[in-house]
Amino acid sequence: MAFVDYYQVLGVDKKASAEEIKKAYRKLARKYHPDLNPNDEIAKSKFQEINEANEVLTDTDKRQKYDQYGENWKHGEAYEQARKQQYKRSEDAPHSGFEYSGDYDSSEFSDFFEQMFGNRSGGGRQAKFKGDDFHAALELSLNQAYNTHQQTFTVNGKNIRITIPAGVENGQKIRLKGQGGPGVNGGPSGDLYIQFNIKDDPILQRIGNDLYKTQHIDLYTAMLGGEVIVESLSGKLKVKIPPYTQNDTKIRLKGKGFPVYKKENTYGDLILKVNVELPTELSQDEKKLFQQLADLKK
Amino acid sequence: MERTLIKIVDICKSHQIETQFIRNLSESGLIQIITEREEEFVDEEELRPLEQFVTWHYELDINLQGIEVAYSLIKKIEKLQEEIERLKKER
Repeated sequence: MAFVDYYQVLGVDKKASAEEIKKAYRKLARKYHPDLNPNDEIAKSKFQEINEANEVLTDTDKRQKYDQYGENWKHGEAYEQARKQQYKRSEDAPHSGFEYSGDYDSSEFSDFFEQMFGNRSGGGRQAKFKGDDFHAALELSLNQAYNTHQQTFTVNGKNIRITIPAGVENGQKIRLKGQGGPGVNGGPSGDLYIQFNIKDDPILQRIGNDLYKTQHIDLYTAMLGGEVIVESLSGKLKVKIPPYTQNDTKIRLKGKGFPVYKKENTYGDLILKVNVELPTELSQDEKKLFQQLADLKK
Repeated sequence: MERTLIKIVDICKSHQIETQFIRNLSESGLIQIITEREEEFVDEEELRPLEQFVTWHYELDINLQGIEVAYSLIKKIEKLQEEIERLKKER
């Protein structure tokens, strides 16, 4: 186990002030931070050294101990005493906080550090853990999913208000960062996942952004043409029925369907499937007229 | 289908930073802010670079102009590294 001269690592004098140490550390961190040196193992290792030096020299207790015993760590007795004190202190008041959260393994401190200040995971500090993720389901009617709206609900005793954008899909999930369980030892809170379940509508069927509806028309409108009033999610629509419309004919109403998620003023189509309703009973006059029609066809 | 938008106020709360910093990043074209119903969000995909910028600015003391230059150079380095790897494999 080699002695590490933390002052040399940061390029500062042994009498350097906290401000000088911070400045030196920042300068070197800018040069060697793994974010700024992608895939550079040498920079990564150098950054770990700098980080370790900073960890010791910016902590008054550690710096004092390092200054007192650091260079003489081989001189057993004093060093052992220092270690024992350190372990005791660690148990009583675990250290917290670690400055960087970049893409490197922060546990890779030198053997010297481990010996001097205790094992990072077991002694000197407590590991931070992210809180639990919460999962919740929210049931929406088709009509609710059609409109952007806000909803407030309670998850684990916490009131949460969210905006649900129009056009949300059945089964779609959103994540609310930090709205889950609290973190452990200062770790970040978990996330809250909300799944939207859209109930089937008895009248309208949604496929993607298109809506399908069966439109009943009477025989006379089917044969002679006319207008019908269609109830849609955007209100009542007047739709022209051309003469001789056959049963099961599909009429596409452009842009009258479901809103497209996150695309303002963009909608799918409404497709009407025509169902011609035949009379189930006829008056005497009607019967006569139908008979006349039938005779004309002969 | 899953797309996650994260409220800027939540990011700022979590990192203890000002919203103006994120708006400045957006004005520099480094991230995109999505505004819905007067609420500002960023896409989850942008969280990683955003958190990098937060580290660079608040912990490494790099100003906005420095972040722009560093980010653009890093992107170039990454492309060159990929190109080198590709050429090595082709040889």
